[in-house]
Amino acid sequence: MSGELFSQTLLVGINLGAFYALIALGFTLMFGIMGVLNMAHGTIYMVGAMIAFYIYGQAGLSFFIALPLAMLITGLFGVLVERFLIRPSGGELLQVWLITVALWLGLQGVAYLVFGFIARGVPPPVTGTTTVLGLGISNYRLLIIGVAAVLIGGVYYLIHRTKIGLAMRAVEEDKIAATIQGVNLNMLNGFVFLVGFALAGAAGALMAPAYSISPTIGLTPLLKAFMIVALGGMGSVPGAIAGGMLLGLADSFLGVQFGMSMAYILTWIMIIVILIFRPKGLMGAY
Amino acid sequence: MLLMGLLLVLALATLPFTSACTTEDGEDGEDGEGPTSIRMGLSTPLSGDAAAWGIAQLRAVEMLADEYNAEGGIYIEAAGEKLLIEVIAYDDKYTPSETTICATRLIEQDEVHFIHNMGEEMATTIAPMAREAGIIQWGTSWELSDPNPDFPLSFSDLMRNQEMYAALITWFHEQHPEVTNIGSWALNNAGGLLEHGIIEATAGDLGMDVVFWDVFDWGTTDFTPLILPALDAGVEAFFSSSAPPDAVGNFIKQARDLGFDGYFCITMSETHWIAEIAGYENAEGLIDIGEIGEPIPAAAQKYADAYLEKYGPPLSTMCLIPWLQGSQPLFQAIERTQSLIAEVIAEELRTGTFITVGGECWFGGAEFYGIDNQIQMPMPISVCMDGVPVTVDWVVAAPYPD
Amino acid sequence: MRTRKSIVILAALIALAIVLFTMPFVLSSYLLLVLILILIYLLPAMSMRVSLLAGQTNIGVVAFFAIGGYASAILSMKLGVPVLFALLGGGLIAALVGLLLGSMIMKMGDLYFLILTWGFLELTRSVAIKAVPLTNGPFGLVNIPPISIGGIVLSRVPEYFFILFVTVLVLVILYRVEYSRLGLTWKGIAQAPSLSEAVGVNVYRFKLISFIISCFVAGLGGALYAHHMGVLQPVMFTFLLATTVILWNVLGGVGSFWGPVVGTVFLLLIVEPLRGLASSEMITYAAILIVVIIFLPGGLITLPDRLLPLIRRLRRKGKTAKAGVEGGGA
Repeated sequence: MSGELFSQTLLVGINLGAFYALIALGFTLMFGIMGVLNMAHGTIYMVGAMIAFYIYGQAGLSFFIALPLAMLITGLFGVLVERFLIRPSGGELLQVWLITVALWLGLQGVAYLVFGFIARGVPPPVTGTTTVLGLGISNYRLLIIGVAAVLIGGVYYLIHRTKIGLAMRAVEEDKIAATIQGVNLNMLNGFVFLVGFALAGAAGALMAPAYSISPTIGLTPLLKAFMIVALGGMGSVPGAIAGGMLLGLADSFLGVQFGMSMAYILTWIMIIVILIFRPKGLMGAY
Repeated sequence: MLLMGLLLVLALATLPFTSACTTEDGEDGEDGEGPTSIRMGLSTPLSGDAAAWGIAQLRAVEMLADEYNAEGGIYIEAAGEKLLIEVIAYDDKYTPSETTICATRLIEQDEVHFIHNMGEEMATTIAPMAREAGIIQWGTSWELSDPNPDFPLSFSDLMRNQEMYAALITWFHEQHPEVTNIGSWALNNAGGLLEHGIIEATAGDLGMDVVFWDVFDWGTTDFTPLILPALDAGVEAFFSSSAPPDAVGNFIKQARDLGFDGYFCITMSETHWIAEIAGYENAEGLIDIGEIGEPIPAAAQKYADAYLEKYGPPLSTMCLIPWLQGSQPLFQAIERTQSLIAEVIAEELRTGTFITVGGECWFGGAEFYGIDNQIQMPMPISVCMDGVPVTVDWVVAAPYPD
Repeated sequence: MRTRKSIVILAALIALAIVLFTMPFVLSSYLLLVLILILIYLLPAMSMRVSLLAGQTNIGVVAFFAIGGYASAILSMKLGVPVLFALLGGGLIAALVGLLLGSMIMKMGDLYFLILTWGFLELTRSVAIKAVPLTNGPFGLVNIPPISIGGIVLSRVPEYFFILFVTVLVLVILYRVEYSRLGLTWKGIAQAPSLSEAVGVNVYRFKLISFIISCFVAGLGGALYAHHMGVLQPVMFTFLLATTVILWNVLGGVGSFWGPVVGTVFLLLIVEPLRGLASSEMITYAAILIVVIIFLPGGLITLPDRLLPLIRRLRRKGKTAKAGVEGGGA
């Protein structure tokens, strides 16, 4: 592999890694704290992208308004889902799983009705390139990495430096003890759904200018999220970041070296090998 | 328990005999009164990754049905009057297992006279069913289920890789003889792999070199691991035939982002959408064969208006042109023969010529497939200019290889 | 002593048997096709249950479905094995692969077991696409011979009875297994793994047995599927299909043996009237899922249990009302 190809592959890998880490974040949070495998994760990502399409692409508002708006809307939707779908069902894991599957399918159906089947696109919010280490990288890609870093940092701050973050960590460790200590589980669950959905929506909105927008774009983020949290450790935020970066670099290097379909096989083999030697993932808490 | 077991084994042993006795499930067929409507069935992807093609196919058929129905339908001799056209469509999600159910339902329950389908795996599944039911299969697929003398009622209503792709490469070479290094990227499915075979053969004959090729799976949005080594290998022009419009849009955007300034060539896609996804600047110069660009021929304009009225913007020229062109011969054949009998219509299709929005077309290909069931028509070549496809040329299919 | 409940169940079973036997003569070819597919899909559904009983979520059920299908098809097409034996062969080969895979991953916690079996599914599909000489790659296998006994090909109606026979047989066997000591041990392991280990149960071995049985049943189902459809393509075997199989189990109810049966039948039947609605199909389907799970969190199988108290309450109201009238009228 030539030097230039190597640097470009590395750059692409880091870009993908940031994207993947952001995708995995919301997913691992929901699983770690509530044990919820959010099958609708990819669909919320899709919704975030579509919101960005309407607010930024169609209405012409600034991308930097569209992105937080997308997070707000999807986050609020998460709260509503928790309150009106999850809680009435009893909150048992199997039932919740099924509801997220129903959400996945139902929202996709709504997307077909409202958005249509035609894939659309929006232009990048920033143009031009910057030279980093002798290579040109588009400013938009830098923006993605930057925003992802900010969001990840924000989540870290939330979990480790705020009271509600403390409550989340407490529930993750021992739900019953946490309740005894005064944690209001209902409110906390609502909050976790808010954050989980908002992060998924943020990822979708952020990546809207990078890829096409259509009802089917949610499947890949869901599958990647699964793979990343398996790699990094279920329920571990640093794990999601490490797993995301690792997967991004793997996708890039293996893809360039062996072709894309072969890379997929190799990535799975990599995950399997890692899990055999470290059954709890790279930084697993479970 | 033992007794139950013996009984069951006995029951099992009788099965082969009942097989001989049971009459084959035949269609009810029309009762002595004759047909009451013309029923077109579609088993096509209306959701999922292939929905862009499936919905395009459905809408083209619907528009044609509307057009004829506005005049009262098509006159069928056996009925003694004009019959209205009914369009029945089921979403087969581009999977063969669903296709079987959809097709069975269309044939046995809805008793359609014609069955349209999308995709090679699906066409393969439906062909024997259509043959058994004695109805015409109007198949859209790129490879694998080639027209075949064993299935005289299965027609291919689209120019396929063998016809289109070779013509595209030849045209491109004439326009840009200085380009020698080409890259091929295709879906990781039957069509994609066969597509690659054609590009290798044709390009080789013309003195071009396929310096890079790779396949991708459905749902891929990030093509950078594919583009990087291609650029490293010195690709000057990218060719793809099987990629859906959103994949093409993503591909172009990412390739340009990585510094590629060469050519993109595709077949029968939807340039408007691609340009929006990729960015108008990036998509400038995109070459598409089989897509009629601006200005839309007068014959197609009324369909464009009808489309916007019925389905609303944005307009899909993919609905408008390729599938319209493909379906018009069928409707015209019914009109001419005034019949719903498959063999009669099939004969008319094979021997007649038809006028479509794109000009004249006929069915041929016997020298290559063994039967004249492959549509033949001059193909437009359009180039993307400022986000809009502009027709620059018309070509005929390259001659079939020996 | 026959309790009322067991008489009702017996009557229901007899009614069911009559219905199942007359179906093919009453139904149209299309509905019969749907029914056959339901019967075939019952096998992977039950296979998933077998895994779930032991506390494992075996996404790989779809992979073994594929392996069984391909194995059976290849045995009959390339090695000339008669279809009946090929069917069995498909199941056995799937079980064998399951043994190999299982022995490697059985010690994992359920979550990682899920991920690994999913990885296995992805790898299986990728192998099916790449191993062209064996599986014909993405083109898939076509013209797989239909089921035949003694050289006579079974037409649609006898084919239905054959598949019905196999499915019922498998269900009966799995029922006996679930209520045997083996089944009870699984349930114990699923509910209290450490306790089980502490009392000397070889958790690893029991989980492996559950896995192998699950793989065999899934493989057998795949083999039936292959010879029924006549076509096998790698694109059929996806994560979404695996999710659907779990869906059948959860919606039907994981607490009962009949849960997956009810869930599978219900969900596969519900799709048919919705076919043709395009995007509304997905929305309606999702809405049905949500309504069912909110009102019947235990799954569809809990419907009678939920209805019974309601019925009793209504009857009691009726009785007291009557008594009130009579008493008041005196």
